[in-house]
Amino acid sequence: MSRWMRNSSVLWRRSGSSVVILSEGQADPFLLTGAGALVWDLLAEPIAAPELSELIARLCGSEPGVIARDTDPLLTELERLGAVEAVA
Amino acid sequence: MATAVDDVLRTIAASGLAGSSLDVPDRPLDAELWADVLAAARAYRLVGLLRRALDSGDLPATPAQAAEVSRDHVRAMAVVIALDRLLLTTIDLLEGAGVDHRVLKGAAHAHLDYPDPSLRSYHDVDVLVPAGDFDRALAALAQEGYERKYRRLGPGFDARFGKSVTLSAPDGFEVDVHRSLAGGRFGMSVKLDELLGAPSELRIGGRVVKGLGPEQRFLHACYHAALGDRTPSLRTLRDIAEMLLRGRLDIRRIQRLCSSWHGEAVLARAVRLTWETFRLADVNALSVWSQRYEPARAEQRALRTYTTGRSAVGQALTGIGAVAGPGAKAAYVRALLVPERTFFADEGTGAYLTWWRRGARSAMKLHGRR
Repeated sequence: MSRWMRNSSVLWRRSGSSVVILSEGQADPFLLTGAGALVWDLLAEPIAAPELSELIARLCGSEPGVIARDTDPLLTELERLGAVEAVA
Repeated sequence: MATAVDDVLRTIAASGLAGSSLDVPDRPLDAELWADVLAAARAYRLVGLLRRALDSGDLPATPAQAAEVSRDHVRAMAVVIALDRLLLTTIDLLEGAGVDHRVLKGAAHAHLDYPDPSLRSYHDVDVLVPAGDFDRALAALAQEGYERKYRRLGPGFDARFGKSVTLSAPDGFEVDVHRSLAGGRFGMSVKLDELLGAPSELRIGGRVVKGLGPEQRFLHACYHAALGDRTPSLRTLRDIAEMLLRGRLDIRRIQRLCSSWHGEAVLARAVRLTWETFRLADVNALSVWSQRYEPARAEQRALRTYTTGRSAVGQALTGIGAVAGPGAKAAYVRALLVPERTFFADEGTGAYLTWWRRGARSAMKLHGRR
């Protein structure tokens, strides 16, 4: 199973409960807010998608399956933007 | 005389500093004062610390005010990461030309001296290159579309005697390529090999790049605070306080470097200003020394050209004594007296006369004659 991690080349800063991110190859920065910023924090170390959903579900008092409906597409989008990469 | 805006800005710049006894407002600012403070915080690149001041309660705010600061901070952070990208691009070009570098000022302080880089905003890129590679550095950047903002005095002047050259990068941001820490006497006295020695490493975008060593970086902040503007930058004073209060600097090394560079008056002024501006209670060897240091008359005269009697020409004149060697001195004076024609560009035939009149006035002011 793939694990995901921030791409080390990404430039970013925290701004309150948000994160401003600029990936290599992208002209403009984008913003992650709320739970998206929490996902970004958790991607500091390699983590598999199911593990990510479980952790956030625990923190938010929700169900992993419910959380995964948001985190899985977010990971896909972050990968498309070059912000995260799959690691062994 | 300090205004209400100045007082609030000082509180913002001091937010989180241990030992600051500045007054803190006990309620949100009224609309008019808030608008002025916010505008000033943006202009002086204090938005990171403004955010901290609100988050910590140092500055009470209404929900609307807090929302404004949140938006501003996101914008400021978008700017700094764009600048970090430009910094890496600039370093790539310099390295491609075989030019060594040190990252300076905002980016260096944010990544090395603050517990959270989002506290420190900046608005341009600053790099230092060795004097011997200065022209090669400018050529490498010019080839990629970096354009000089201000004209040079003469061929070779920047590489031999200048403080820095400001370039406009293709994306519109400014890149300052530095040779030394200041113009004039205090800049000319800096031993550049000591400045470049024992660099720090900072990690930006997964890459390791070089910054000044901690003591040199601290001294650069002091030079910038004491000499860089008529009114010292609160952002830079905060850099000084942040570094000194962390307790990781080698004070003896700072004093040795400063003595070698004949910069004691600069260091004393910067530390004294920092302690006074932020009303810091903590005492350390440098803060005590700075209170006691009395600059010599020549130092006072030289300092005035950077402060109350601020004048680029005056600063340049004070540099004559600091230039080593008769040949170099002659080249320096010649460049000051007779800048190359392109320096005056479209200013017409009277440009040289105007230039000499300004020089004569500065010289007379320097020596106490009107």
